[in-house]
Amino acid sequence: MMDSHLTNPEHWVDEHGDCLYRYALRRLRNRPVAEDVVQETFLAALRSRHTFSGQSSARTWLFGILKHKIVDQLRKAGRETAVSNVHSAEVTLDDLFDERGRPKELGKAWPGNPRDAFESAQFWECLYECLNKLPSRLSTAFTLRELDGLERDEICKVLDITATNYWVMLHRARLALRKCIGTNWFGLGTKGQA
Amino acid sequence: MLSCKDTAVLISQELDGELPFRMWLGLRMHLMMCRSCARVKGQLLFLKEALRRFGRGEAPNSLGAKRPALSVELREKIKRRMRQ
Repeated sequence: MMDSHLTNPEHWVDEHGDCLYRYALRRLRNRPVAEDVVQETFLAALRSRHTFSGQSSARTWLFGILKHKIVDQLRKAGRETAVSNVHSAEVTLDDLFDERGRPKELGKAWPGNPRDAFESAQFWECLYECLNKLPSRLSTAFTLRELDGLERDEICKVLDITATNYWVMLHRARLALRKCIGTNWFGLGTKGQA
Repeated sequence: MLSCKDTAVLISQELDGELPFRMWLGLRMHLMMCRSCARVKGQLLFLKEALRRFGRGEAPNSLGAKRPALSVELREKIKRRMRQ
């Protein structure tokens, strides 16, 4: 049974626009870019509506188009910064450790039960802000992996990086996020640090 | 014995299920003896779960107090372009 909204694609915008936008915003964390991607998604969907078989829901189909557009956007952003990255500090972890291989900053415990944070709207805002603070070079690989579950091979292809670079970038991003959350949510370390 | 620096990236690999067994042993040994790295690993595990939920929009108000939406102007603009 065909989705009745196929007869008027403008309904897609009202039915699915906000949901698509929020999904894009979580990943791109830039309102104008997310808006553009959503707009392009609807236009692409309109152009290819004859390929929609009605097997899945219209929303699933639109999300399929959106996901491709998001990856394209991240790839573009990643490539722009990756080229300048060849000798950048971001491809090693050396600066985080001393000569004996010990971390310059020891890991401190987070107070209470961290999972309680999941119930708090402020925690999620804090997470969003911390994601935005990630250097853009690291942010792209990280987003593709952690939010979209892309496999390592795919990410390396999309960003044109080696597997070694990938692990270093991913780990750096995770450590940076951990430090930001530790400081700004769990109250550790010096206040005011990113 | 592996140092904290040697095991750093291994932590991420293990979190993603991509750590070869022989290296997993080295990581395990280090984590048993190093509280700092053990804490880091636990915290990264927590963040991985948080991000999974965030990505799915399972979090309450994950994008701020006012749930973001397409503005009325943008909706109309998109519909206009679709009509062309």
